[in-house]
Amino acid sequence: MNLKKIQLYIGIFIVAMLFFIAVFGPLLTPYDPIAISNATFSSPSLSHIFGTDALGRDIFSRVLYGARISLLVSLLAVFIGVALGTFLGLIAGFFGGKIDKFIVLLMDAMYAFPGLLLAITFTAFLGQGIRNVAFAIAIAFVPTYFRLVRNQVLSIKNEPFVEATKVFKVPLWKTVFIYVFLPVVPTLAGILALSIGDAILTEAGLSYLGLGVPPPTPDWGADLSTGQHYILQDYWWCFLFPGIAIFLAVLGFALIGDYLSEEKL
Amino acid sequence: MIKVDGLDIIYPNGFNAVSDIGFEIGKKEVFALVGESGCGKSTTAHALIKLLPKGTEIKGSFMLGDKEIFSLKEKDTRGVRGKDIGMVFQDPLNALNPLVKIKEHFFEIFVAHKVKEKREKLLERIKFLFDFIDLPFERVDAYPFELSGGQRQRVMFALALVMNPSLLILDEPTTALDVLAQKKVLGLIRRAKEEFSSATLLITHDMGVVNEVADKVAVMYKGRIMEMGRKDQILYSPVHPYTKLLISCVPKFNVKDLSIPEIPIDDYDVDGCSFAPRCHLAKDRCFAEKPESKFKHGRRVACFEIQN
Amino acid sequence: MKGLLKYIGYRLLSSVVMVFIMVTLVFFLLRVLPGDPVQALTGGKAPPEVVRQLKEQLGLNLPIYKQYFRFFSDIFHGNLGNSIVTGESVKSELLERFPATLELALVSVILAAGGGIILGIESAKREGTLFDFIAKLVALSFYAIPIFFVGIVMQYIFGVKLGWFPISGRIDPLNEPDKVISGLYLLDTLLTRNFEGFVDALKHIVLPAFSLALVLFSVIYRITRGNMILQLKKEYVKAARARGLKERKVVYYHAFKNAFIPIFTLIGLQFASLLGGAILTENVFSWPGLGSYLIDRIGYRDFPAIQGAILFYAVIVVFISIGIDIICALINPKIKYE
Repeated sequence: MNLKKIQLYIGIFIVAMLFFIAVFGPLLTPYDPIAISNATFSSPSLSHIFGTDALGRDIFSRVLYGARISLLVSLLAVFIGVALGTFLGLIAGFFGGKIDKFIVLLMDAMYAFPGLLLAITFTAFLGQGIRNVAFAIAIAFVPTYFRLVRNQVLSIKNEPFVEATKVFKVPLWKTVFIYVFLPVVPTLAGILALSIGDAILTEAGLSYLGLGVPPPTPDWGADLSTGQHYILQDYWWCFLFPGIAIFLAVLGFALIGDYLSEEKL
Repeated sequence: MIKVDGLDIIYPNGFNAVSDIGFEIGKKEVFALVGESGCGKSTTAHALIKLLPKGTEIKGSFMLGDKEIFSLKEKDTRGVRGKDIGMVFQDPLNALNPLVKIKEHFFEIFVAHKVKEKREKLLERIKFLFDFIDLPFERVDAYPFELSGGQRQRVMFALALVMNPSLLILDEPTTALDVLAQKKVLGLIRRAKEEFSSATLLITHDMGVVNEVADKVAVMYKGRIMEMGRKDQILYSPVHPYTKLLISCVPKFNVKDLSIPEIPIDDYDVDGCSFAPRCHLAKDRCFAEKPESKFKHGRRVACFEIQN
Repeated sequence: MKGLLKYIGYRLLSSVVMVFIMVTLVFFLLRVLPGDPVQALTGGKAPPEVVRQLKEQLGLNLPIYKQYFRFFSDIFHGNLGNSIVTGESVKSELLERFPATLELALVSVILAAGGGIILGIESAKREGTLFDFIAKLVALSFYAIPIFFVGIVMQYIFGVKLGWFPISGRIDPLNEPDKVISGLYLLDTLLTRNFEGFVDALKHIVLPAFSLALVLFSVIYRITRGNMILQLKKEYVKAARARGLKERKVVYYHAFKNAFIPIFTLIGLQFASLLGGAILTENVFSWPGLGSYLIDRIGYRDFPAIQGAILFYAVIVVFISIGIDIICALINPKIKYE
């Protein structure tokens, strides 16, 4: 079989698993992920297959529930990023002139900053919570989608077929949908998948730094951070499993994104 | 003296691009390989210099003087490329490295083929070639983008000729050029064979170019040679139905009485002569059996109807 | 040459605008959004009198526009203000921490670029083969591993279990260079012939540098592979082979020279972003650079420090990206300037 196809299927498999866990996670474990118990730092065993943490919470359950936060935040972040980027791209592209120049300059300035730094700056002051974290992560995506949409608008703006839509009084949203959105779908698909992977990484990073969703909500990045405190005591399961969870989630989206952006070429 | 015999080329995907091709080219002789795009003429040229994609199967023999090229190891083939065989490509705009000065393109050939001479000597050699291609010598310091398409193609000639190759392969050398630049290149082809006494393999689909510079011509169709002979035979008194068809499409030859009826559009693959589906002379045998190339009317023809 | 100068002038101008916008954004963001430094400092339990006094001292009682003008006039005088937490000049705090960040960035970029470029080229040469596929999967995996997770795993294996390398800090306090020459410990210890210190500094940088390099490697590998595949299909590559050049020369000189500009640009920008502090890595390894400084001060709502760090960062990004453009222009004779 084609090697590239294998890559795609592995990616789809991982992402499908991720969604499955996010939805049905609670059915797969008897434990409450935030229930404290006396069995602290018990190593992986049949009753706690990933072991327990400093508060005696079941790590397996926390990893399962963590998929929810991770997916929720990253999907929300990408959605906000795409929406904002598209909105600004349409405005800049269709209006042109000074508005366009100003937005482009702003976007360029933002683009030069790494996503994590932007997200840190925003979360630090927006405060924690799913919506705020998602928004902070989304900011970094805005310039990417802005460019994509603006370039597409500019390339079709003066085409005769767009002029024709005015003559026939086609509603603007239809023109935009057919000539701006549909053509960018192939490019968009790959970038979207990669963005979601990026968002998962950024979310985990923020949580690791203590700027993400507040405890005791199960969160991979935050659990990794607390797990790090106990490496000297050899409690490796505390950091290993949340870390692997993040890795696999990002890998799944990266495999798909990489495949899509290469096939487009 | 160049001799190619029984050349068969099969691409990694199993496509048999060229089958059973053979020809000879003498010193100071221009041999033109003509045909429609996709007929395998370019593939043939690339096979001779072994620049086909990895995994392509090349059968047959290729004698360059008394050296057999196909049996050489990759390392030794590299020593032949650029030294015994010079090649000029179709697209002069992309055949030179855009970030490398013209001069450097020459010097790296000297390095690759271990020419150990003084720099002045080598520069003199380059200057001689620049005179030959009629380009001011100062241009050696230019970057490719500072030259016109025609100038770049002439530089490609100079690069191909710098090691005095015994075979010069020209792959559609005039196709991408405007008329004036074409004329200059055609002049170069004529002068090159005299000055460097090399054998020239010219790949083209342009009958006008063939008429201007070729000595011998082979007409290819779907990977096989249909008819091969002297230029005047092929251009002015073709016998093979496909050659007739091809020549009749060129208005300026204006050959009378070729009696070619309308060509059927639908084409398909058959076991026999690959031209049979489009041929007005085709009989049952033509569809079932491949005709051998035989000597007839002072030339080689692969057609049962003509051979009879 | 004149075109180049004009272009640099334009880039500088637009960069100043960009830095201005960025800093302004941060300035207002910090003040409009919830979160109060005085509260953070005093833990919200100080008597109102103390709070008022502190605010006055920090200039936080002034109207926002006055704070804004004061902030900018200070910047023009090269003054980034004093930290609310330590009371020290932010500028000197930043400069003190910068060498640590620079050292880590340099070492990891060198590691990552070396590996990424070579593997990227070899992968492109073998496009579509098993070798290429596996190399690509490995690179994608490195990309997907959270950088702090790599750091922790490395700390656990090489620090805790094997005991080969220290897991935090830059150098053992006993080995600190007697005098600061460049601020780069690897260099300074060598210059002062403090070989014990050099080995110690080297041991400290191994884990953070490698974990940082891993992620960078995957990015550099990806862009190298992509661009090399593109170049290797070009006609000039075939023509160079037809002239009998060695394969190594064709690939590593001709094709790579053309693929180099986007690769170089990416490496430069990545380097610039590391100079702003490899935030996560510095935090994992308690590396005393700009990244851990920023996170530290965000915790305290230390406005001047945060603004200063971001301004510092913006300036670095701008200068490096202009530098990259100039170098690219010098490499590529064809680049035209508008």
